[in-house]
Amino acid sequence: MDSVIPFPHRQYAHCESGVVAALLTHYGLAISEPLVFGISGGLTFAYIPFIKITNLPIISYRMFPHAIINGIQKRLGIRFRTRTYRDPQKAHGDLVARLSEGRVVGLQTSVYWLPYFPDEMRFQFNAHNLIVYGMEDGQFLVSDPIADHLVRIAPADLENARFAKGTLAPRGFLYYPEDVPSSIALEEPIRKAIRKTAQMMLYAPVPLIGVKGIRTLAGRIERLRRHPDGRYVRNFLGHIVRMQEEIGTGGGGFRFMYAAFLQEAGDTLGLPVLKEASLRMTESGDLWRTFALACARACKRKGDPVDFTAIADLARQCADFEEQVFRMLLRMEWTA
Amino acid sequence: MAKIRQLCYTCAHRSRIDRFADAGRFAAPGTAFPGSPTEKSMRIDETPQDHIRTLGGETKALYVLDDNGRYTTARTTGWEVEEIVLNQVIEDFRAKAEEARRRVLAGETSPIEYYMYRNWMDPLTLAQAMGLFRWQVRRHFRPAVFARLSETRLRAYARLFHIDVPTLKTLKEDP
Repeated sequence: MDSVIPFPHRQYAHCESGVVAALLTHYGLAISEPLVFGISGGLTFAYIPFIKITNLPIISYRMFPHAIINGIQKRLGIRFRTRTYRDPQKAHGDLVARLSEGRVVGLQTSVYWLPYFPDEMRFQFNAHNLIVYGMEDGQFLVSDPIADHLVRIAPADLENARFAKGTLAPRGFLYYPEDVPSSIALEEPIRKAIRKTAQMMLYAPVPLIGVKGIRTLAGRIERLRRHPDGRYVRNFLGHIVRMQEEIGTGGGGFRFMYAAFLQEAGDTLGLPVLKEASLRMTESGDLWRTFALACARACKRKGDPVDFTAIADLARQCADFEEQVFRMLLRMEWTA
Repeated sequence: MAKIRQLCYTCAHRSRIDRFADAGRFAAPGTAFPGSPTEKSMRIDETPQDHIRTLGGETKALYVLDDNGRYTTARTTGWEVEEIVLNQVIEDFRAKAEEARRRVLAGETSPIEYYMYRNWMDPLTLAQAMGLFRWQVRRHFRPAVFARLSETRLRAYARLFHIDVPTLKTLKEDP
């Protein structure tokens, strides 16, 4: 029952935007990953102290899983057929049926159950996205957007990965776009998306989101000075950086990808202001990386005194910087 | 009206922000904002290539600037910083697993706790991955309770830990 659909593999920086960009391109609308990320409003900052993963608060540099799939549908008006399953058997049958129809599909999976991931990366994380483009010798052919080569996966492993339990459980989530146009007007979606992201980054109603969230986090870092447990402090600093730099962020907490989006948007719309904003965003990404370096150093040196104020100030600088960028984006004139 | 506006803007924070915004609006491209970082931007020839072990020889894609200031993707073999923070959490789990191992041998806890840390989980994530409550998982840490666990339950744990039931029962794995 082999069915292989010709599918050019590309390596992307982030799994969800990568899958959506690859799927749209495959179905006829050539679109880049940064455009998908920006138009769906993927960028954010959130510090959520009351939801914990392994006893550490959630710190996110992007919107939560499914935000990109939902955002792109809303902004571009392209419908995705999405489906979750209760019965793994049915999910498997459905996947095989889609493939024999010649459809390439996206799946949500758990990293923990994917055998081709390096062991050190196989944490309980249930919102990894990948593409299945065929079946050969009883194995599924997988194009994982963050891997640099194609992989194969046994049906049993894929079933485990699709039906992992826990937070954000995938429940076999399967999706692919329907009726994709070959070209689409991007001006309006880009404008709306940028304004929405800017509003959220600047005027979120709680001080945990956007630039206020970054400042709150900076305050928390400063307070670590008085924390009695050195192990917790190191864990906390390491955790921030892991959220920022680990698999699928493209580094700098998605800031470089957003800068790439602003640059591409500037080209599409012929607006130099956006290119200027892109430059600023790049600088913000660089600053985030300087911040990550400082955190990692503090994390590595056990026992040595750590200058928490210096680290917190770096985060505050990031906040100031992004505040400037997004204010600029909110104030800009949208006619070329 | 102007007075109300004035009142709204008395907040020092707001006016500072607005000054920044104006600076951004009128500054010539390439000139820095006040407080802009001195380090150079992420460039294609500065992409970190630290060959970190945690990636296991794989690569990742990054968005970087090429020589003409255009964004493009580049492959990276990893950044030292990622390795430091990933190793830090792995070491933390290893230390916890080692301690759990000691306590298993001393008869104070069940092998479930050991394998939990070996697979980078804590009681809450383990409970979620098993579809149990955290108190149930913690209860299963008690050797007396562990000894009475049903075959089905043991198989579910073993499956999650990628081992078989005898291994789960005897802690028959290299330290």
